[in-house]
Amino acid sequence: MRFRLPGTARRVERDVDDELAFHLDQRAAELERTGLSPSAARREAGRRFGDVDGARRQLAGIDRRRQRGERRAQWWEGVAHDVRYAFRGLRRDPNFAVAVVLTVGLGLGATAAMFGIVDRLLLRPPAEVRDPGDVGRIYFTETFSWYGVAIQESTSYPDFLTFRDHARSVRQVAAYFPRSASLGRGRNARQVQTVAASGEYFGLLGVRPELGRFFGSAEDALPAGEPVAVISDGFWRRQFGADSSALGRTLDLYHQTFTIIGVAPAAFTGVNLSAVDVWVPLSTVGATVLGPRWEHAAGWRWIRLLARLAPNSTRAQANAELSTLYRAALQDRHNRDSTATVTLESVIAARGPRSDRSGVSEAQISVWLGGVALLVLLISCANAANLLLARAVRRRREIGVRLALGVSHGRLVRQLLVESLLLAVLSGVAGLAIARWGGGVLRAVLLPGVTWHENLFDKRILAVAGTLVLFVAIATGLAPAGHALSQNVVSNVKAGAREGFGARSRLRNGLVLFQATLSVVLLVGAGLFVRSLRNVREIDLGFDARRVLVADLDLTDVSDATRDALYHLARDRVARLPVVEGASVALTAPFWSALSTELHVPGLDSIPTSRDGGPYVNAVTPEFFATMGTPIVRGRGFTEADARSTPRVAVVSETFARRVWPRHDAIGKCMLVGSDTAPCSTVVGIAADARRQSLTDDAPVMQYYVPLDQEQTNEGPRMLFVRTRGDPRAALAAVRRETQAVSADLPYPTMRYLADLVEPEVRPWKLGATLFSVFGGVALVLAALGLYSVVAYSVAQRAHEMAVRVALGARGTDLARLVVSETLRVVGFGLAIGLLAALVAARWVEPLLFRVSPRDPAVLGAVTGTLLLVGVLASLAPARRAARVSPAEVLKAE
Amino acid sequence: MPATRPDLQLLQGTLDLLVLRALTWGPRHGYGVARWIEDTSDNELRVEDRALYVALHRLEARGWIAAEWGVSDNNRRAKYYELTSKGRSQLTLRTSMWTRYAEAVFKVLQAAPA
Repeated sequence: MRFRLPGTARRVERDVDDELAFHLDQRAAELERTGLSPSAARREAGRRFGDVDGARRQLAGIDRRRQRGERRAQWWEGVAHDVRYAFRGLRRDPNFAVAVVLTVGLGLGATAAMFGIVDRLLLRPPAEVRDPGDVGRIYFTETFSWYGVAIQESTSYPDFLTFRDHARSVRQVAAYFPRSASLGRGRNARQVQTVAASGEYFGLLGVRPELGRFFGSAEDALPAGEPVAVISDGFWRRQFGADSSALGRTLDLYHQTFTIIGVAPAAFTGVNLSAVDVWVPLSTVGATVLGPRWEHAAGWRWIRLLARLAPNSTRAQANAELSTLYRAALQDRHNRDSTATVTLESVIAARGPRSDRSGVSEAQISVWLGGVALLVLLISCANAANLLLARAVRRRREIGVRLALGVSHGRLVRQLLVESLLLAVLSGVAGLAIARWGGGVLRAVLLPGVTWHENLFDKRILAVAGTLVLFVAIATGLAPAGHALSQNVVSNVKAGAREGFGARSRLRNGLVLFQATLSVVLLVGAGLFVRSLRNVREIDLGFDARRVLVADLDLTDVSDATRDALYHLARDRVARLPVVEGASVALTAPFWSALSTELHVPGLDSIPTSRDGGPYVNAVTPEFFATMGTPIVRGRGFTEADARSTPRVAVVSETFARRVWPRHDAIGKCMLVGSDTAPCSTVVGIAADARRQSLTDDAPVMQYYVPLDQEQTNEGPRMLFVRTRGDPRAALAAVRRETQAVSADLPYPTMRYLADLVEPEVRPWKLGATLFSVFGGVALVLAALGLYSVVAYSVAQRAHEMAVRVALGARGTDLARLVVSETLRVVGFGLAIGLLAALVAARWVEPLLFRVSPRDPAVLGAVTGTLLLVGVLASLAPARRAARVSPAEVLKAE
Repeated sequence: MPATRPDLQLLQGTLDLLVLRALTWGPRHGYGVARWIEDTSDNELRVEDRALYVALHRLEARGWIAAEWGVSDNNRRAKYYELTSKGRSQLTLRTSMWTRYAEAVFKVLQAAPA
């Protein structure tokens, strides 16, 4: 027998008909009693009623609407009931609830945190920029004789003027130049991040000042603009306590006094993601950067360009026009590169073209890790589904009873889905907490230079998290719901939980298999990245970067003689520190700056060049090779005796020697440095090759060194290299103090660790290795837990079978072996599929790796071993339990 | 029935009030409600049957009255309506409103010239 809710649409109409028929009959009967004939009574009843058919339709309509409303209300009431029911159930089984919430929370947290990063890097346009879709960055693709085709994002000031004054397809063009600068003098000097921007910059971006005004073209006049500054919201708060009296105050920058005229809104960092303290007109710093006549220097690529499309023009039109203009400009400079193209690309930096061919960008890695985080989420979902399924199996009797009592399948499925939705929401909360904490760590590790204005609980991230929660709820709820539907009511109530175990066990095994497979994929990724990282770390740099500090005294406004004197003074003071092993001064630093100059070798028409732009020259003081840890392979380095007045000498790198004098000994040879009329610089030594620009590019290093005292051009900045005895971090303060003590009028000296100059080259692999390892580890732990729960459960379920086996003479070790081998079968299967998937994915990972084959046997072997070990460990405890099965006890319990 | 006098037209909302009132003494079917109104008003208030049923179904949808199928005096299946507690409080409220309204109108009509 079934109770039915007031029924279908057809039923509604029948009820209305019945009701009206009853009424008409009654009325007719009454009229007959007053003496009318039956047919006349019927007619009169109908007349008094009015339009019967119309009434029928109208009443049925009212009733149907009412019914729908009632059903809706009932449904919601049911859901509310289910939520309460689910809550009660979880409170009864807190271990289960905590296990699921933590597992899924971890997956959700990782995914949300990664999404936040990918969103910031790749999806979100720069803050405060009006119509960012119309704004683009300008990139240059050119063919260089010594390098091949390369993409550049910087260009010269004359090229900027060409675009700005002649391009019709773009409404505006703006130039900017980010640079850190010293603020103030002497002991109070500090470093700030500045952006020198052309007058069009703020107008083009369409940003509005938070306070005061921005500068425009009037302040950016040539050759020297007005010293006005716009400060960032952060700087305003830190420096002036967000006081509006900051307007009109002055800043000591670039050897000028800038007056603050405005404050930029909080989230605004231009189109780059790193924090900015001060914006100044481009023309106020041009001379400081490039010297007088800077605005005519066509050979210097230093500024970056932005453009906003003109109304009704397309990017393709802009690209064509800008390219034509650029080629014409090149031709004026006798460069006939007909392949040169200019393109307007996304304003989102990470989406722009890659400027160097080797290496891997953080954006690329982030996208990968977003995918990895999703895999972890899938694994945690599988785990949660497994736990829910185990619980559903435990609740078979309860479910069977409810089905027997007439609870519909729909209700039951809804209830299970509500339960998993509740779990998913709780997990979502846990996940956001994890993402908030872990996301901070992740951001700091992944993108140390990026500022984060939006907090984690931002609309977009919450929307993604919400979607994920829904996905999790459905993914984890489906298995138990499907399972509930397949219930055979009678057998469940009658029998114990043993029957029908096989099918469930297959489903649960399948889930574990899935987890094992994904873990394998992640672990293979982790292994490959760890190997890549190790290979990158093992590259012989040709110098020892670990204990070296690089100081830049920023002495651009003093005479050359004073500058050299101050640097030598600083070197001598620093070298006397007990924490310092040695110090030296040089013109350039590896992975930071490079210098090349005219070079002639008697007997050679031209000097071989290298792909990275060499040969490069560095002018150094005698201690340089010892300070850097670059060995002199043959001959000698420089000494104090190699002075301005003594014969000129030079040291060349091994590759330089081999390529310039392939058949002779380089030592004793003559080089003309600076011009073909310069006196001979005699090669006195050969130094080991030291990498200059790229870790992964194996271009030969064409490098030679001259003594700083004999350096002819005297141009450019100097750098102070300091080798410390212990951790350079511990020595930093002392070195800075000694350096600043050289002169009270010194700007803030910039200190860097040499290792940090190299680090950006290593970071993508470090990142990949760290995060793949972390996620892979999490995945492995989850898979192990899932495996354990399935095996333990299966042993408990099969106690009866085990007891029978024991009774038939099986020994405990046989049973243990049975459990372990069945577990390993699942693991082995997952392993096989996972390895296969990893091999298929190899094609896409390959470009991210360094000197490791994506099919590296060592990595695949290690992953195989790890997984089998985990399989054994996960089955060990249940196996022991199986070995101790006592037939008497088991059978008694039944 | 005196044909010379026109039927009194029901004011908006009055029919609801009459239906609720008709159910004060217990469940009635639609025909019973119609008869009660006719009898009690001495046939002065003529309610079109169709309008009455629309009112009944609307009140049911609003939850002021509830319906149940039962058996009539002459042993036929009939739909009986009953006041819900919500309907009962509505009745009290609307009765007092209607009375105040009627008194006010009456006062105005009876007013002597100032």
